[in-house]
Amino acid sequence: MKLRRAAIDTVWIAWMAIGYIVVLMPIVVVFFASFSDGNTFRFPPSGFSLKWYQAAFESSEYRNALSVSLLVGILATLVSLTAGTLAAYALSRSTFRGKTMIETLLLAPLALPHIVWAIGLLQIYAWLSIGGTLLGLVLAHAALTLPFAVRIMLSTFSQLDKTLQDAATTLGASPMRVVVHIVLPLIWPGVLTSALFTFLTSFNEVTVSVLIAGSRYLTYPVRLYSELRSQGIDPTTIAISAMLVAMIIVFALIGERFLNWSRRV
Amino acid sequence: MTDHGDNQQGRNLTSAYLSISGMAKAYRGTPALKSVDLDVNEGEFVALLGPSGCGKSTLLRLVAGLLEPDEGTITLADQRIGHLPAYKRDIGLVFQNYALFPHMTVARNVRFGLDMRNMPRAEAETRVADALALVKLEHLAARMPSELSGGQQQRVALARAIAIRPRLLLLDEPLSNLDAVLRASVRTELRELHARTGLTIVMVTHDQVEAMTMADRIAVMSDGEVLQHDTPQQIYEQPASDFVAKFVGTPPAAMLQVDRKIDGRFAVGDTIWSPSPELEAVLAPIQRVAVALGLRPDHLALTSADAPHALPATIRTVEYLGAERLVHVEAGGQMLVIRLSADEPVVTGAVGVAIVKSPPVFDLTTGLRLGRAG
Ligand SMILES: Nc1ncnc2c1ncn2[C@@H]1O[C@H](COP(=O)(O)OP(=O)(O)O)[C@@H](O)[C@H]1O
Ligand SMILES: [Mg+2]
Repeated sequence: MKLRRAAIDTVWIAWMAIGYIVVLMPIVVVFFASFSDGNTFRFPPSGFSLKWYQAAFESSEYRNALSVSLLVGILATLVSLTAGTLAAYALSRSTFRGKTMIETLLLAPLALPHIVWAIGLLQIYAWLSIGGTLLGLVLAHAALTLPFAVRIMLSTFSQLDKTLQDAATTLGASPMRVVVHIVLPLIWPGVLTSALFTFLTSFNEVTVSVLIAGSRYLTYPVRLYSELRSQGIDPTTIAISAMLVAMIIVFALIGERFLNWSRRV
Repeated sequence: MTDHGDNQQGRNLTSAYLSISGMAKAYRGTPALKSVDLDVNEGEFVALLGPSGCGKSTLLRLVAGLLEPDEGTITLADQRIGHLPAYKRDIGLVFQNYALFPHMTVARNVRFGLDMRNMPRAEAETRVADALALVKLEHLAARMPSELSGGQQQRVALARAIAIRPRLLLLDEPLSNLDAVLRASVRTELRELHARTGLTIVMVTHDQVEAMTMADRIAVMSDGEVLQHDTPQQIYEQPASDFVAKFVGTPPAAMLQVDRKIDGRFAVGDTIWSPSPELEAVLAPIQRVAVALGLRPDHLALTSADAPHALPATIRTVEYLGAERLVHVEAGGQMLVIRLSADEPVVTGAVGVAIVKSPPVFDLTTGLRLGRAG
C-alpha cells in the first residue's frame, strides 16, 4: 500500500517535471545560447563570451526598437490603466441586468485572434487617419490590454470593503478624501499588477503592431520578427531576449512576493 | 454647523435631542422602513431592538447620512441635518464588522477623523491617547488591525468614533461578533463608557437581553416600524403588542388564547374556565369573541388541578437553571412556562395553573394591547 503510494507520487513528480521542461526549455536554450562565442545561434553553446551582449548594447537599431517598445508600453499602460480603473470602479458599484454578460465579454481578447483585432483597428484608424502614428499604436495596445486591466481592477474592487469608505465618511472624510486616503492605498497592489500585465502584453505584442505601426514605429518584437525572416537568427537578439527574460522573471518574483500575483489573476 | 441661516430656519423646538420623524425608506420598491418616529434625549442610551431584517441598520445609516431617506426629517440638537452630507454630520458610527482601515496602525485609525478635521498634530495626539485610554488600549497604539483580536478591534472602532467627539454615537450590533464571555464584559464596559462620556448613544441589537440590560430606553422594531419606545421595565411589564411581549423576556411571554362563549363564560381550548374575579374584571369589558393573554412566568403559579380558578394543565418538561426551574406545561392545547425555585417540589401528573397577576390582554388579529387601564 505504502509502496504503491510512493510509486504514484513518483509518477506525479515526473509528470510535473516534464511539464516544467516543456515550458522552460526554450527559455533555458535562449539563456545559455546568449553566452556563446560562435557567430551563429547554437545550442548547446560553444564556448563562453559576452560579445553578443556587447553587440546588443552597441546596436542603435535594437536600442531604437527597445525604446519604441518601452515608450508604447508605458503610454498604453497609462491609458489602459486609467480607463480600466474608472470602468471597473463604475462596474463594481453598479448593479444592472447584463452586468455578468459585460464581464464575460471582457474575456473576448483572450479568445479572439489578434489578427482580427488588427484588421478591425486598421480600418478604424485609416478612417480616423491615425494609422502608422504613435498615437494609433498606443491606442491599439491600450484597446488590447484594457479588458485585462478592467478584470484585474474589478477583482481588486470586489475585495474592497465598502464599509471602510462609509466609516471614513462618518469620520468626516469628503468623497475626494475617501478616495485618496482609503480607496487608493487599498487598491494599489491591484493597480500595480494590472500595470505590469498591461505593460508586458504591450511589450510582447507583434500582430497588431506590425499592421498598425507601419515602418516608423518598429517595436522590439516586430524588429526581431522581421530580422528573423530576412536574415535568420541574429545572436544579438538572443542576448537581448535573455536580458528581457531575466527582467521579466525578476518582475514575476517581485509580483508574487509582494502582490500575490498567482492568486490575483 | 457653519450654516447659520439654515440653523435659524431649521430650528425645531422639540425637547428631544435627536428627533426622527416620518422616516421612510424603500430599496427598489420594497419598503425597509415605514414612517418611523423616534425621539432620543440628550445623554440617553437607546437600543433599537428587533429581529434581523426589520430595518435597524437602515435607520442607523439614515441617521448617519450614509443613506438618503425617501421621506422624513432628522433633527439633532434643534438643527435639521437631513441636507447635511454624512461627512459633515459629526455622528460617530461603529460598524458591525468594525471597518478598521487595514493599512493604518491603531493610532492612525483613531486619528483619522481628527486628521480629516485638520486638527493640529499635538492636539490630535492627545485626543488619540485619551480615546485609546478610554477603551484601555494605549499599549496597542502601534499595532496593525490585523494583529488584534475581535474584541480589541471593536474597542479600536469605538475609540475611533469617540475621538471625534461626536454629537451622537451609533452602534450597529456592537456585541454580535464577540464570543459569549467577552460579550458580557463589553456590555458593562459600554455602559461605563456611556456614563463617563455622557454621549447620546443609539445601539442596534437583535438580542433582547442586551437591550434590556444596557439601554435607558428601548425602541422595539418589527418589519420597518417602531412598535414601542419605552423603558426596559415598561417594555417588559406593559408590552404594547403581542410581538413585543413575545420578543422580550427570558423566557418570552407565552400567548394563551381565551375564547368567550355565547353565555359569557370563558374557555381555554375545550375547557371551560372561570378566571379569578380580578382577571374577570379585566376581561369582562373587552368585547371580543377571543383574546390572547400574554403570560410570563411571573404571572403564573403551579397549583393543584382542582384549585379554584386554576387552569387544568399537564407538565411537559422541566428545565433546571440552578437557582430556579422552568416548568413547561400544556393547558388547553397551549404551552405555558412557570418558574419554580429549585427547592420547591414539582408535582407530577395533572396540575393546575393559577394566574396570580393580571397579564396584558391582546387582540388576536391585530396583536395590539386591549383594555389597558388609564
Ligand atoms: N442595500 C440594500 N439593498 C436592498 N435591500 C436592502 C439593502 N439593505 C437592506 N435591505 C433590506 O432591507 C431590510 C432591512 O435591512 P436592515 O436595515 O439591514 O435590517 P436589520 O439591520 O434590522 O437586520 C431587509 O429586508 C434587507 O434585506
Ligand atoms: Mg443590521
